[in-house]
Amino acid sequence: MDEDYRDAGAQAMMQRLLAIALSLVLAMPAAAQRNETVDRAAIHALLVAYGSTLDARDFEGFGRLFGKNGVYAAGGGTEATGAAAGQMMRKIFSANTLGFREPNFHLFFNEVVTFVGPDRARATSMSLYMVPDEKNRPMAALMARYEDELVRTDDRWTFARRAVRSLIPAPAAPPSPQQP
Amino acid sequence: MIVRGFALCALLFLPVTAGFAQPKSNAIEARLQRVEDELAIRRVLVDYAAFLDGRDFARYAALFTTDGEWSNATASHKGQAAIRQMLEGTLGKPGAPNRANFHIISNPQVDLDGDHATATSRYLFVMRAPDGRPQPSLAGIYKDELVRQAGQWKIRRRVADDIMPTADEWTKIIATQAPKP
Repeated sequence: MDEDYRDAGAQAMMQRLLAIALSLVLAMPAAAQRNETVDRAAIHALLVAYGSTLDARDFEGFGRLFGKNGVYAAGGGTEATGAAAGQMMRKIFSANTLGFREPNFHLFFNEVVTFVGPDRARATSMSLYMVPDEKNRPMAALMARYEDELVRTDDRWTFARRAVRSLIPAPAAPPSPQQP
Repeated sequence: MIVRGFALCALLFLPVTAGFAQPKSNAIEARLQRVEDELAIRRVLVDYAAFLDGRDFARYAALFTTDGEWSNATASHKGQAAIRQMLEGTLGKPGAPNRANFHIISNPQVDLDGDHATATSRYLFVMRAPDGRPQPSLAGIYKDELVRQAGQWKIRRRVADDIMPTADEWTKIIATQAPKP
């Protein structure tokens, strides 16, 4: 009789554990899916903030988008990490070696975000850099592609790495080995 | 035995969901609501350009609250009827085919506060050049105040801030061209 009770008790315990495990498994996909939509909205805001901070010349705000260790590879071998990315862009905008007129702004499109884990994502997107022409009309001066690695730290998405690839004007082709 | 097992599972499942899942579910619902709100508002931003470019003045005006306001540096129009009248005065008959220009809307930034929201977005107005090429002609920022009414997000106030060229420059340009928005 005692054995019957013990068996029944063990069986009930097993069923309880199975039920709890089942409930957790059933609950996870919905929660994960809904979190992804929130993360997509937050990542979109990050990608847009890249442009809005630069367009407003808010270089401290720009640097914060890279957290402490995020790397900004601006092209041509120019890189900076964390807040230094903002300082680097302050110098670049101050020098204005391409002679862009102001005001100017970034226009973003073709945003694609893929998740590689709960706190990691990759993104690609493109931009036009619009500047005033001689009649003060908007003119596309640059076109670029962004390749991003994104990370969530302390509930905030930041760039772990952003690489800028210039499309227009196209980067100079490397010298051909056939040529002298 | 199997039926009893499922019944037991169901009974055991209830305390688990009642004890832990409910608060989490509420949190998820709240976050999901914010995302749905942001998507709905982004749709308003895109619809605005689509209805404008498609000359659908009725649906354009309906994007605003009944007392909604559209303004720029040179004019202000308050109320759906006045907004619709502005379009008809500037662009002519509703529904007319338009292959002369279009708006690109980009960089949407939405900030939610319950049933109210603010948003900014960039607009690039592209016109057909004499040789048929698309010519970016006017760029600026829309600054919006939105409100949820009867489950629908509506524009309470939109300010169109022409930046490139400036509002004064644009006024002179369009004075020499065919009517445009």
